Amino acid sequence: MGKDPLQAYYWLFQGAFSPSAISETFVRATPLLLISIGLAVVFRAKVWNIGAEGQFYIGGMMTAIMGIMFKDLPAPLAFPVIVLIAGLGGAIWALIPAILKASYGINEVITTLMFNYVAIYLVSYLLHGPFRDPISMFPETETINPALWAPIAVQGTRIHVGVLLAFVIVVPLAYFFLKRSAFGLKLDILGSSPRVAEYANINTTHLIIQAMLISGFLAGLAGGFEVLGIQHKMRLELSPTTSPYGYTGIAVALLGYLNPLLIALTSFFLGGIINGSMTMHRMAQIPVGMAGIIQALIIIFILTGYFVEDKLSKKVMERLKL
Amino acid sequence: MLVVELRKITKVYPGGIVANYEVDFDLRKGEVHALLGENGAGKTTLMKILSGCLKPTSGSIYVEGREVKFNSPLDALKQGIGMVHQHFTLIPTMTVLENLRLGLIGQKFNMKHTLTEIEELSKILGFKVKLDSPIYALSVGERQRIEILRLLLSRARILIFDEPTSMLCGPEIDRFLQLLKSLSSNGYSIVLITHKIREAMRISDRITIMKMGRVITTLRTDEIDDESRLVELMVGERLMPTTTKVAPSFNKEPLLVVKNLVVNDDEGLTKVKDISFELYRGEILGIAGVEGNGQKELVEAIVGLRKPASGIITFRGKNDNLDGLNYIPAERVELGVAPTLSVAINSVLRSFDKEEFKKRGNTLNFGRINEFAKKVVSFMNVKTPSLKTPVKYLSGGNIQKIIVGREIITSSEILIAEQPTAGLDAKSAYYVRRALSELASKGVGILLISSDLDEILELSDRIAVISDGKFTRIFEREEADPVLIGSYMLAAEGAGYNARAATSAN
Repeated sequence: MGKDPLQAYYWLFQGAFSPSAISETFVRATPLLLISIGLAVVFRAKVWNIGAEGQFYIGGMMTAIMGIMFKDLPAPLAFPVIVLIAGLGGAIWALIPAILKASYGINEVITTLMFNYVAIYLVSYLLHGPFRDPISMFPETETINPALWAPIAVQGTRIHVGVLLAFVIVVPLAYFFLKRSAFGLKLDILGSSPRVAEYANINTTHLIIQAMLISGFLAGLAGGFEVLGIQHKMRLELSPTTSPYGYTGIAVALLGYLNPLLIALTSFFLGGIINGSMTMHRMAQIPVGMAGIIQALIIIFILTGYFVEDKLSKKVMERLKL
Repeated sequence: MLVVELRKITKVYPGGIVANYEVDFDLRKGEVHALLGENGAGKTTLMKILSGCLKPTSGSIYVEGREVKFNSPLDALKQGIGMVHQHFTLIPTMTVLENLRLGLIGQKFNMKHTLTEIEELSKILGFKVKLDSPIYALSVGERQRIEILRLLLSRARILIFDEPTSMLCGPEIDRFLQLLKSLSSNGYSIVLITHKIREAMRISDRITIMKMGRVITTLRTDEIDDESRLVELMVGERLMPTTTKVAPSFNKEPLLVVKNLVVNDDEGLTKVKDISFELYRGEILGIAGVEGNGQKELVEAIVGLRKPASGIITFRGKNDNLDGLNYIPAERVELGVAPTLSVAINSVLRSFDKEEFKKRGNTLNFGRINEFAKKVVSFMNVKTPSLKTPVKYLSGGNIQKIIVGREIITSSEILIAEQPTAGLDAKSAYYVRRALSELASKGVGILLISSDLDEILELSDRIAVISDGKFTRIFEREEADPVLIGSYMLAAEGAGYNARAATSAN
């Protein structure tokens, strides 16, 4: 394209991990992290929730509605309630596909995917109609009362309490929950085989519903913090169009081997790539589409890398044992 | 003339398990060569290498003198090598003809030609084929014959059988061995993987004994005059005496009551037809019968994996208290273990949610879990590199040992044991039988479902014979006799058998 590739990668890196950009990378990584940890919970049980995008949007929309309704309530009371409701919104959005899957065996990939369209068009209707900010040119809600915004945790950056919560509390909690609790083990057994799970005295119906609720809750929570911490209003582009959080989260969860610690790393890395590719677009005049291609290639290379590494380590193991 | 020669085959599985180490093996034209050894001795691995299912880590394969390399079972089949696996590879919902056709994919297909070929082959082998019957409607023995026919149609001259008789019963075993004889006399070369010494002695021309991934020796069968020498070579010590069973000294307290139970299978066919019985404290109730007569559905209904169509199942007077029920399923890999999880986790697969394996809250106590897993591993002598190894890397026999050990060691009031020793080596089978009778003498009620009639006769206090979904008779231990039981097994198949039963009873 007649551009210097080294220059392009320089800007990619600058936009992602340079000292001035790193705080933004954390901000970008937070919704990815919350969503992909929720996805790790269900993916471990081999229940494929593709609906994080819709759950994310419902969480965001609920937050904006509550923010507008509770604007006069004292913030210390309203903020946690709104955050909780954002999560519950996402959970409820996951509930119907969860029940259909758990009780009737209806394929969750299709139902959750379809629920994404329902969610996004529902939000679109609400933003064009009842909740549209009358003075804005765009389909978006009015700005939420600043008292209800997520408090900034690191001065001079956009790192808000949600970022801190995700990286410092949710990650270790999820790790403990998945690796050390009986619930986590039940998910692994269900993922190994549904019949074996029944043999192991596991109530698979309840387990699938519980896991989906957790997954939806975290996606909704991500939507809530995105509205309260970053956008301060509900917009139709809550998720970047080139790499929607709900779908990118699937890649992040799988790249992170469904392990919360690795997911924290991969979501940070992918958040950096998203930001970096935008910088690259601006500074080196590389089209956004090209940036999307580079993102996709990076994911493919990482996955191939895992595969090669797996093969190699097996070979090395065999050599050593002989 | 050697049709196959394996030289210095070594196979190391990921995870470091050495399944074969510098193994030499050969097969002559038209012979039956038995491959004898305990579980995990490496028999199946070696033959999977020969049939192209696995690639050796090192070593070479010669077919009729030429060195070959197999990348898939299809490559091996092109050289005339076919394997009948322990778990059949037929598609249950398709018909016999469709399944046979599937074996010929990639070749020119001429229906007329194939049909005459099937007819000729079945004439040689002495069995009839119901071409338009779906596979699920066939018995295990029939399915096996279809597998063989499929290999023969694709021009296999070297046939490998992996534990072919482990799921067959009495008369079907005889019939199968007969079939092997006629195959070999028609010029087919046969490898028979087995751990049953009698079977190997009866049918084979040569016997190769494997132990811990190595070949111990190859002998000509007619030169062996003492079977117990084979046991010694296989196990390393003489077979232990059979268990002695103490009669239950408990009063007749029913632990499990089944009343007028009717159960349907997945296709909606009624498989259990009005069965009623009681299982008492401290007794072993054996259920004898040809496989596929409703045993599977009966057990699934009792353990709660299948909803009965009608009837009542009560545990100690209560309707749904399954806490005290342990269950050794016949489907080991499909149902008994979570293959991707570790040996330790699989040792507590059905009990990790109990208090003893938990710390405060809902946290698992991995210390206790590992302790328990060590007990299971040492009790059953499971061969595993570590407790963390995923069970999918272990051999079928070792997986089975984990399941059996786990269900025996975990305390319970009722134990449902489906084929508890099928596929186990002599030593482990002995331990399992002894453990079962010890449990019974401690007051556990055991329901023993086995296709091994000797095992049922040895262990049971009472023997129920199941045929076509009904208990045709429940014997007391004293009145049981193999011939009589055998005739009751076939009772539902026709009045002729009943007449025979009556005569042998006299």
